[in-house]
Order: sequence, then structure tokens, then C-alpha cells
Amino acid sequence: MRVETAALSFEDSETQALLRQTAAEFLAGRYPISRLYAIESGESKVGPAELAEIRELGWLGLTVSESAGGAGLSLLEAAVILDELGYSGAPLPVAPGNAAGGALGRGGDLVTLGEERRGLSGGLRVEGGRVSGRVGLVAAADLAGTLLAPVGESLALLPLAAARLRPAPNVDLAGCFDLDFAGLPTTEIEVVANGSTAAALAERAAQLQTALRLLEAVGMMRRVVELTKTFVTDRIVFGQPVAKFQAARHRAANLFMDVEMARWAAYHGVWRLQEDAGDPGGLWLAKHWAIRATERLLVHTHMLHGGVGVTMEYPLHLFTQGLMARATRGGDLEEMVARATAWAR
Amino acid sequence: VNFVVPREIVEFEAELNRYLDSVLSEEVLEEFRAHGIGRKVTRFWQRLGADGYLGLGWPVEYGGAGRSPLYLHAFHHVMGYRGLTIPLVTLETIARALMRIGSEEQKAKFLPRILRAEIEFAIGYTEPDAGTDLAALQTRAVRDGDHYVVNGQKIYTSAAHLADYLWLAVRTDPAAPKHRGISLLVTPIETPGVEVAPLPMMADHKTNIVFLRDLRIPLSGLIGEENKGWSYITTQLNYERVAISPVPIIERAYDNLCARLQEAGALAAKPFARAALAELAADLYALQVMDWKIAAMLADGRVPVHEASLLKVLSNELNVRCQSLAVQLLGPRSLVRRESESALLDPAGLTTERQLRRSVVNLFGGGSNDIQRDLVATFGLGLPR
Repeated sequence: MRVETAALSFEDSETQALLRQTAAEFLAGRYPISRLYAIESGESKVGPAELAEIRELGWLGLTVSESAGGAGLSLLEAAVILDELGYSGAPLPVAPGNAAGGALGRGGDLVTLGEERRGLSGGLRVEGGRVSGRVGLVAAADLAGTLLAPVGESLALLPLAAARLRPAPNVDLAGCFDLDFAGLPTTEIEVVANGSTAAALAERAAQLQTALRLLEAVGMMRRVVELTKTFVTDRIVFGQPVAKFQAARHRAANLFMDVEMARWAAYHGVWRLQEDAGDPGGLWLAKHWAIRATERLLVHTHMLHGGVGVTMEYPLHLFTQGLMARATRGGDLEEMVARATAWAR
Repeated sequence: VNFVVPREIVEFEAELNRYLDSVLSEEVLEEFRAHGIGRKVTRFWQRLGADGYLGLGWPVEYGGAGRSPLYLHAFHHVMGYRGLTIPLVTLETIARALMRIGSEEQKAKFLPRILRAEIEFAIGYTEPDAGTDLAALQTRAVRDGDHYVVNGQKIYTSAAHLADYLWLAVRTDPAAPKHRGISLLVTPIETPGVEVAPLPMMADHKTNIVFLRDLRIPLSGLIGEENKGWSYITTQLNYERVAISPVPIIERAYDNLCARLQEAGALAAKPFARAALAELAADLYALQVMDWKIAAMLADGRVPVHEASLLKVLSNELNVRCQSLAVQLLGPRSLVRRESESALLDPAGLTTERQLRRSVVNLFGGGSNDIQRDLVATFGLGLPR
């Protein structure tokens, strides 16, 4: 009987468990809540030293082969690292770096990309041998050396030193910038693909970005569940813990169920993409689900926490704000509806 | 993790579908569509039993095939998608309880006949004043020599008008704390002292009130130990919760909606329908994954507790939303009953209106969803009770 069912498992594989533990230990040591507060207040930042550290861990080329400077992990193995990253709340540019690097098959150096999809920022064009235009909401543009972006009908790597960076502070802690290129000579960019190849490569980067941001969101949801559990158990109202009241228990149960569903749908969607690069369908559905679960989660957790949850001295906001960002990046609901309908039928 | 569904399970589903295509006549299907139960349906179940499908998950020692719970999951999935009911309560709830706590004599008497679909049981747990708070039940059984004498009333006793046996929860020790004085008894339904009165329900569903007046049950009708009934009951409900998941019903509704709206040819021009279908597809996907997670747990020999409650709550609530949405997308024609020639039928020959009316039943059937939420809070999240 075991033989029949050996394949189906919802437990971490040995490799996943090891990766998860290593990532969790590293992140808990380097990015405790006190560090997140310091980043929030500006006392500390994610700088070149932090980038060097995650490069050393192989986190800038998780799914890239070792020969190309990566860690050679499967997508499901990379997923547990993003899950733990989300749980920690550390604002490290692992998702954009691996979306760009993963699509290109290049590990090692941080290549970033714009988070504003659906062409909302106008994009880059070539006129007279020079590149101009805007790329919106680029994560860690102050740390990365290179940007992966569509330039006309091509996909190209552009030196970030040539861009004007305008900070676009977000709801979460991650550094984010709008970039303007004004007349960068095309000789200074590296075209990696043209035409349909460029479109396919850009699509691959977009899919990876969805997958990685989704897993980060799922990890962050777990943290919100944990904070909520602790709060309703410890907080006394009318002489007993909040957790004793049925209305509160039901809200907490709804929160828990949403997060369980989001988590397993996310892993399953990522698995489908891993098994068949031509099947991102599960990913779109899982992201669609996670975005709506996030809406409900915000209501439930903040309702249960009351005023305490919105004070800056209680850490919940670090995770609910982080979740607002992670649920939206890597494809918002407008995009997921379009993709899911196109995919479903 | 590894989400690969074993090949033999996929092949089994295909084989079962071919088998059903070959044995289901239009007459039988019509009875399924109209009533869900009846003589032809029973004969079909007997055929399923004879061909080895009813005992798929039963241990070999009781005449079953001893297959992994994944086969059972696939079986329920195929049957549910086709809108074919099975004698679930008897086959899984009652039989599993008998295997666990029945005497050798009771096992020998009932199990082979259950497997051949020759006998059916009705469960008499709920009472007018003991539903969600089942342990408040008042039906009394008093020992009188080598018999129990039972007096009381049961309600929502589904299938009592068709069943051969009545499976009762009764109070045998009124002095004990309420969870400790309950026992399980079984009796032929055709016994003096049992009166079955119909209680018609919405959605063409028939259930019953059962009056018990000086009903005499021999001591051999006691299931398990006296006064231990509560733990037996709660274990059974865990099995039922997993088995009544409406995931295949939602899948059929989704497929039907997609086909109908495509047929109408204007899906691209219907932004609401597109967005609604995307949302339904996403909700369904997350549920399907969770459904497999629970099947995988069972296959691994573990008992899903909060997982079963989660699936029960979310799948049944999604079913109500899904059927309601189907009505809004298909319009008022979807509310026409199947007796009418102009009724809109889904691939299983069922109307949306009936499925919508039916969907609300399992919000409380199999354990009220709000109680399930409490179980999730306790066992899933770990909140203090």
C-alpha cells in the first residue's frame, strides 16, 4: 500500500527541510524584529554588505545551475527559501534577483527588474541609437548593477549607473525606485533576446517573479497567523483571553484556513510550473487566491488586534504592510484575472 | 513535497468511468436524477458491490479490496462528478464503526450484507433538542432483563423510510456527565415501538422523524461498550466529514458554466463572467489541492482532524457561493425545475436550482460549520478552548 502512495506527499523533502532550516536560522539571526525596526526608522539599511552575504549563500541564483554561478536548486527547493524570507520580513531583493537571474540563467550578480507590470510606466524606447524612457518601481536599484527590461521589441540588460534613480518609498521596507533613462547609447546595453524570444524570456521572468513573490507572501501570512495566535491567547478582555470568545475564535479560524489554502495552492502552482514550464496555470490561480486571502487576512488580523495592531511599537504592521506589497507585486489582481481566464478556458 | 498523483490512481479513475459508462442505463440514471435513491439505484449499488467497487477501501479481512485511501478518494470523486449517490453512511460511517468496535457476531451479521448493498442503516443521533449539542440527547434506554427498553424521539433521520436498520445513540446513564452516559444500539427498523414519520425538506430531500416508544432491543444490539458512545460517535463524524466534500460537485458546476457561457459565444465580451469564473477557478484550485492533501494524509495512515474541518467548511461554503453564482451567470432559466422541458440541465442531468437548494444542507450536515471553525481554532491554530 505504501508503494502506491509513496509519490504523494505534502511534507518537505529532506533537501527542502534542510534549506528551510538553514534559511530560517540565518534570517532569525540577521533580521530579528529589532533589525526590521532599525530599517524602518532608517538607522540601518540593506546595503552592499547584506547583498554580499546573500550572494555568498547562493540566494541570487537559486535556480541557476552551479556552473553559471547559481545554487542549482529546483523551483520547489527555492520556494522554501522565499517562504522563510517572507516569514522573517527581511526586505532582501531575492525575488526580483531570482526572477531576472533565473530567466537569464545567470547567477552571482544582482540583476533587478521593474515591479510595475501591465506596461503602466510606459517603458523604454530607442530613438537614434539611444535608449530613453521610464521603468517603474524597480526593487533594490541602488544595490543592483544591472536592470533587465524590455527595450522596444528586445529584452536587454542596462547599466543602472546610467539611470536617474528616484526613490519611490513603498508601504513595506524594501528599497524601491523609479528609473529614468535619457539617451543611453545602445552600445552600452546588452541585448539578450529579440522578438518572440525576447517575449518568451520576459514571460519566464514574469512567471518566476509571480512564483517567488507568492511564496514570500505565503511566508509572511504564516507570521501574521503566529502573531495573531499569540495576541488573542495572551490578551485579556472582560477577564479572559480574547481567544475564549467565539466571534474571535471564528475570525482566527478563518484566518488560519485562508493561510493554509494559500500556502498549499502556492506550492502546488509552483510545482506545476517546475514540472512543465509551459503550465503556469496553477500559479495564476494560486496568486489570484492569495491576493483575495490577503484582503480577508487584513480584516481579520487587524480586527482581532484592535488598536495595538496599528501602533508602530507592535510589530504586526511590519508584516501586514509587507503583505500588502507582496500580494500586489509579481502580478496584481487585474493581471491575475486576465491570466487566469485566458488560462482556464 | 511531491504532488504527483500516482499513475494507478489516474488509471483507476479512467477504468471506473469506462465501467460506469457500460453499466449505467438511462432508467437508472433517471432515478438518480429524480430522487437519488430508489429500487433501481439500489440494484445498481448491488452491482457495484458485486463488481468490487463498494469495498475498495475496506480491509481484505472484511471482504474489501484493501486499497489505499487514494482509491477511495478517486471513487468518491468520479461518483460525485457524475451526480451518482452511494450508500455512504452505511458503507463508510456504520461499517467502519462496526469494524472498529462491533462484536465478532455483529461483524459477521452485518458487514458482508453491507458490502453487497443488501442492507441499509439510518442513523438516529439528532433529537429535537440535541443537534449541534448532540451530547444533550435525551432518548433513554433502560435495561430490563436481557433487553434495553428505549423511549424518545429522533429527528432528521435521513433514509429511515428506506432503511433496514436503525443505529441509535441513547442515554444509558442519566447520572453520568452528559458525554459519559451515551451508548450506541442497533435494531431492525421493522420492530414494534419504531414509528417513522416523513419530514419533507427543501430541495426534494426526504428525511424523517422517528418516534421510539417502549422499543425493546436485545442486549446483543449494544455496539461497543455501554456508556462509551460519545467517543465512537465523534470518531465516525471525522470519516463522514472527509467523505461528504462537494469538491466534485463544484468542479461539475464550474465545467458546466464554462461550457454554457462559451456556447453562448460571448464570454470575451462579458467582463463580469470572466472575472467571476477566474475567481471560482482559483477558489476551486485551492480546494482541490487541500482535498488531495487530506487524501495523502489518510493514505499515510494519519487522521485529518482540523484539516477535515477546514475542507468541510470551505468546500461547502464554496458550493453555496458557486451554485448561487451559476444562477446569476445563467439567469432565471436556471431556476426552472427539471420537470420542465425547458429546464437547463448540467452534464449529470441536474438543474442548478436543485443543487443550490441542496448546497445549504451541508453547511450544518456532518457537523455545523461554525462548530468546525471552533475545532480549527483549537486543533489547527492551537487556541485555548
